[in-house]
Amino acid sequence: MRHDMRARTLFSLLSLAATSCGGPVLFVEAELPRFCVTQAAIEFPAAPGGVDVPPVAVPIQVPFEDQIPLLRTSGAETELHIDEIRVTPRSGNPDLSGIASAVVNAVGPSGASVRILSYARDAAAPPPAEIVIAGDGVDMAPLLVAGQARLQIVASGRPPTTAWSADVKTCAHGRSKVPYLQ
Amino acid sequence: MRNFIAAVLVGVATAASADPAPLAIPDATAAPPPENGSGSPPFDSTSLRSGRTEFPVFGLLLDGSFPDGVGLSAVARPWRALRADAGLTYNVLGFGVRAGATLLPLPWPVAPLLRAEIGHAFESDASGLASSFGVRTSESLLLKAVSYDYASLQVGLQLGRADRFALVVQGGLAWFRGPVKNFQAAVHAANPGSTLEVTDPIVSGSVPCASIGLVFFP
Repeated sequence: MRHDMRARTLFSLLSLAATSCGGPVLFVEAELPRFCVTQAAIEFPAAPGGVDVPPVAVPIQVPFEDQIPLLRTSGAETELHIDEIRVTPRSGNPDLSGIASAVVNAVGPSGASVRILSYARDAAAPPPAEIVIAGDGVDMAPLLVAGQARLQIVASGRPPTTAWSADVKTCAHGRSKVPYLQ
Repeated sequence: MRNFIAAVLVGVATAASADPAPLAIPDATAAPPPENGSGSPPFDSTSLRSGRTEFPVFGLLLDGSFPDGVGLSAVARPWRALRADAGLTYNVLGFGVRAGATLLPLPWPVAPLLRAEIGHAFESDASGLASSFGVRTSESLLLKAVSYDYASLQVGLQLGRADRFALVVQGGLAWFRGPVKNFQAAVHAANPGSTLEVTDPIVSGSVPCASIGLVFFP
């Protein structure tokens, strides 16, 4: 009798364990704590001179899926968070002190844009040698188009009035989870 | 090899068909063991120290499995229905350590079991093995320092006498987690123009596991 009870309990546990074997509990996940992709010599146009300057927008595309071997955007549960974009001048000797603020928008598959990063200059600080636009953890994965992030850097204030180029370093973290039986 | 397997099968079959009574012959003049409600004699540390348990306490487990590899473990049975083990593993690449516990609630010749284990595979270089299978240099760089932690939960069957010699077959789920070292070097080897800077990723997952082993109590 006691053995019957034990057997029933054990077989219930076996059934529970067996049920979980073939389902979505089987997976392999790659976690990427931090990675950075640098795009060299991105051209920034000259801003018009004057007091009320309209924002200057520069589009960039970051091919995350091509660059990061373990990051998959199809057939996987993927998260991608851009932590910061660092803009470091390479030519044109621009004066970055006039840039009062900057944002980075991500343009999704539908064409709608989402603000993911922002920068505001501290007026009391010395003129910056580079601009670091930092983020607040928006998941970029749903906004990727064919594995690429379509971004737009928008600068406001008094951006440089001469054309200049810069290295744009995009740093992010993320994870991809792939079903084991796929 | 065929003779060895035949000997193992004959041994298991013989053990399975034998009387499942404990090996130790109780003293006819001794008082019967007190009933504790579980159908098993209670654990008595005094009798364990003096070697008077009615079942062998210490034994060996030899098994082969994924993700552990081949393992050799010392086994202890504090109670008849519970087997704890700890030992060394070897997964073709390197050594590891493992500890586990197996619950055998039914004292049948063919008995179901529930097993849980945790383990760690020490860092080892799998790049040479990968290269011999034609894996590209960039990918084999990822295998230069492989280590991982794992845990598993398995169900299965034990065939034979739990007190002497038994074959265990089990399967279930294993969870693993480990770093992928040299990732940046591998990316640059695959794409020399890459401007990617990356810290080593961590790979984890939940995968099926299975094992087969022999338990022996001398």
